[in-house]
Amino acid sequence: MVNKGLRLVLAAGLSLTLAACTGGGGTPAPAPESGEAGGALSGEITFQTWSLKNDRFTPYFESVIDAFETEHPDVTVNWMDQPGDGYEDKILQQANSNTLPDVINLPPEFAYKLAQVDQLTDLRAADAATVDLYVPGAVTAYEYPEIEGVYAYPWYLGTDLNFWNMELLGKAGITEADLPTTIDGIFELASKVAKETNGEVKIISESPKMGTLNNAGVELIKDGQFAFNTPDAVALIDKYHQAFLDGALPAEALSGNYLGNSALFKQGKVAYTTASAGFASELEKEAPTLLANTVATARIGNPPLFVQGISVAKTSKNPTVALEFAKFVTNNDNQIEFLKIAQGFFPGTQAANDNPESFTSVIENALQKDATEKAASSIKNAKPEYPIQFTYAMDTYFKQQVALAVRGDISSQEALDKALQNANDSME
Amino acid sequence: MKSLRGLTPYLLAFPAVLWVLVFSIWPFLNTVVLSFTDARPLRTPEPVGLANYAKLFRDEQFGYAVTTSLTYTLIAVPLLTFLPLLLALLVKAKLPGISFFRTTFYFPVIASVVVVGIIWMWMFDSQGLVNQTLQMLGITDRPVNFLVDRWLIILTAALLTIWKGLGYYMVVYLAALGSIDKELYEAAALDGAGPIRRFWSVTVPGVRGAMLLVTALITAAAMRVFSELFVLTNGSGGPGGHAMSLVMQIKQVGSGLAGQIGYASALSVALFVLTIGPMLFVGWVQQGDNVREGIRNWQKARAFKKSQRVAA
Amino acid sequence: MSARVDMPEYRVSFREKWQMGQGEMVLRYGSLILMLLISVGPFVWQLATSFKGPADDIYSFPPSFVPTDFTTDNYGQVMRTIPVIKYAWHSLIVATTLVVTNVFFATLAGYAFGALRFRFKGLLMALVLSTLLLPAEVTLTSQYLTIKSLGFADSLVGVILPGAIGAINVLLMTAAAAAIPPSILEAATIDGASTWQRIRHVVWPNVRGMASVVGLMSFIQGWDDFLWPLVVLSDPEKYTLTVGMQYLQSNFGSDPRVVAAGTVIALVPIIVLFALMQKQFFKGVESGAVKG
Repeated sequence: MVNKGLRLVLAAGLSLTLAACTGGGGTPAPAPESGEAGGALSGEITFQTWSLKNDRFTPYFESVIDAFETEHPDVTVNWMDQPGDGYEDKILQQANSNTLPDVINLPPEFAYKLAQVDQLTDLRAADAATVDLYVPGAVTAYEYPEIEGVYAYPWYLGTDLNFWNMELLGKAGITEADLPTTIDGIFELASKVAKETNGEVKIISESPKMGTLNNAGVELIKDGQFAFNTPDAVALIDKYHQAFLDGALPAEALSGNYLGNSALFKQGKVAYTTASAGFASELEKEAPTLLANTVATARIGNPPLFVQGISVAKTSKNPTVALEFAKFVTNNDNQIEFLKIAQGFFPGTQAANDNPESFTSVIENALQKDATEKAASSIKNAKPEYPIQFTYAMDTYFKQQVALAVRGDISSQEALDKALQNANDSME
Repeated sequence: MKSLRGLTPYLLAFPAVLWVLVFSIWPFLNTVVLSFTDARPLRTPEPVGLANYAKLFRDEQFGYAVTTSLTYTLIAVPLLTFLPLLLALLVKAKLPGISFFRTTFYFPVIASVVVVGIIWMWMFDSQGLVNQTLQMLGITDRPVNFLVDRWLIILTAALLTIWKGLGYYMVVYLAALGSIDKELYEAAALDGAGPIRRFWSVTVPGVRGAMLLVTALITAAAMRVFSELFVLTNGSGGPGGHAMSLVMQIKQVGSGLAGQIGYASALSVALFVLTIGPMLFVGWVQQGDNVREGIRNWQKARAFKKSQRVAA
Repeated sequence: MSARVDMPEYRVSFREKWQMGQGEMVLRYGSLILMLLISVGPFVWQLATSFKGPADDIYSFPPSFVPTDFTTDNYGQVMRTIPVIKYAWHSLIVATTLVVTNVFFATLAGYAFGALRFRFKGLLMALVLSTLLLPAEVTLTSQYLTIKSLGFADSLVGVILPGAIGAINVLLMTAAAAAIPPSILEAATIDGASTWQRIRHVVWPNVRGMASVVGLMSFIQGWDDFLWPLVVLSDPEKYTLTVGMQYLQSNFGSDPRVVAAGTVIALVPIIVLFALMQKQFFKGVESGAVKG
């Protein structure tokens, strides 16, 4: 079991940020004084996070739990963290054997599958007022077609930025002022640079996935059926093919996984990548020589929205405590403290987003600060990259077919038609 | 007392057979049943007849997966049958320091495939060690895309398997080599046979049993290749997924919360059928007498029962 | 070591290898050293990476084997993230139990299949053989449900159980038992030896070599298995080392230095164990084989 790419986006992105920092963790906010009488709660619950147990985060979670237990002396919270890889299988196993933790960290697509089989609590039905405290766009990610309700409190959000290696681009005489602001501009720059450096400096760092089409504004789904084989989509894939012919796209990108493009960037093989804002801290740790020459710009096209949420299992033996704890972990103060550590990400509560200084003030790395500010401006317009019906398997098939088209083995139209057929066939 | 003695072989074999039944056969039968349903995680499966099997024949990816698995098997099996034998001969000699070499040759076996795969990816990368070396030696003037071309991916994966398996099978051969009568070598040497002749006329026949066993094990394992191809292609199976093996496809189709368990089960059954041919052949050659005897006994027993029934 | 390289052994090696000339010696050592580089090189790189500090670029080319910013903090990070010692202890329990059960039961079954005659033997053997063809990856869920219904979910017993008797091991021991000359076994029977006595005094000495192989393979299997323990165990307190390692990989995937430190920690015990046992192991492998 190795990388599950797509599903790992946030987990991976996040841990990268965290691994990068060496300072101490934040202190969680004290529990709010107001609210219902806490003394009434009692019992034991399990809280499961995804890939967040490490030097950076452990102290934070321990003190959040501590604060909750202090407020409710009769409550015990057992914290469990699962490895990043194999999380989907783990959730499946837990759901199958009726052992889902009471409070679970779930991305929207996992929550969707569990909500479909009635394993999660509808949080709007449980407490409508609290749901309104969160960012509406992120709440939408946990509302599903043909199912009534909201199935998680948005916890932390992320979006992508462009990162440029100016040292490599300098070889073709490109300066910051020359950086493109349109999708076409990226391809023009890529071909120009590849020609000038005789293929040495490559810019296009990944083969298209579904999110690429979404980013370029292609409508993916229409009336509950996928419909992404549009002329615009064909033209876009053709551009990638041309970039490949021009030597502007490295062959490795054709079988890369989700984080492949940023890995190629770190190795100095490409001069451009998209990555979450936390990528800056990652560079500082892993490829320190690149950091000084890297520049971040706002994502071109539709920025993607990544969300992580906190759900409550319907099978919980202690639903009141579970719901209370889910609210506590995702309350405004605790989110702000969390984001001081998870630099480059954004809170799921409206109040915190209205006052970004509250969590960005602690950032020291200059590129990181710049990146976070640029991401803050695009997160407002960010939308989920995929329709919820789209699965990892469909995306894998999509990437495989499109990679063939990029290489020129089949036409772009044929690749998209096949991917479309596959996606519609495997939809439930 | 006599009846008890007759039971002994069954008692001895019982735990092994029980384990096989509970932990392999039973789950497999379960898989067969599921292959006739539309099973998905967390839902009640509905029977769909042969639909999953019909889908197999329309599925282009299945064709690629079969070709990949077979090609990989064809490369890995012969090499992994003979190279460890040569290595065993090399480390069998009691040269000074030989135990150090033997131990180190075993290192790749103990390391986990995931770790080893990451290191290999780094070596076979377009700017990796292998390409740098090839270019330095002037064999190629531009990087070879080992991890992008379908056939090169399969080849690289087979090499990885061989590298990792050498030490394992070397040990099996070492055990077998010890049983070859040294006088045979001396006699062959006296007859004027060179090292190559001695290898073919004494060593190979001497380890024939072990060799068949090794071949059987590798064939079964090769048809089930997963980790190597998965790690080397980041799980994508190369461009177009053309270098995806059958087990990779099974995993891709059947895993996760949206997994098509029914279709994945049909793929598993197909894999079983595809593997059983070569395996039965190897098994027949090796244990042919036992199997044939078993069948004869069974027929005899049936004939006996029948005759009794007729008599009654 | 050097004490073992005395003259008599050296002479033996000459006699054994017939006329081994100067040229052949060079060729042999040449091949040995080449193989050494191929098999150990990657691990040395891993070891070097684990000591590299943040100022070392790990992706640089050609790869550097000497850290310029030497640090042991990567090991500290591993220790702080996962309870390595506890996980290693769990892995050790699993691996050792697998060695005992596999050697014991596979020897019994191997003796029955390889040296005894009984009805349905062919059928039962075919049954065992057929399991080599079943990809474990696809029967995982069924297996988990079986373990769960037996009440062993989330326990080390559940991790051990399915692998306690491996079909491959039964097959290996069958091959070894089949190689015992029937005459020896018959002689023992005529002497009135019980089944147990025959196994203990005739079969075991003859199959010991193969048993060493089975034992080591079982240990490695127990030590390296990842997917199954991940499925069975849900309480991180009970994890085995590989699951812990994977945990590390996913939490520090972006920092190969920490992952490298983790893999070194996972590799060292098994390498040390193997280095300590290798003499008996290889001796067992060679001498255990049946003579004439």
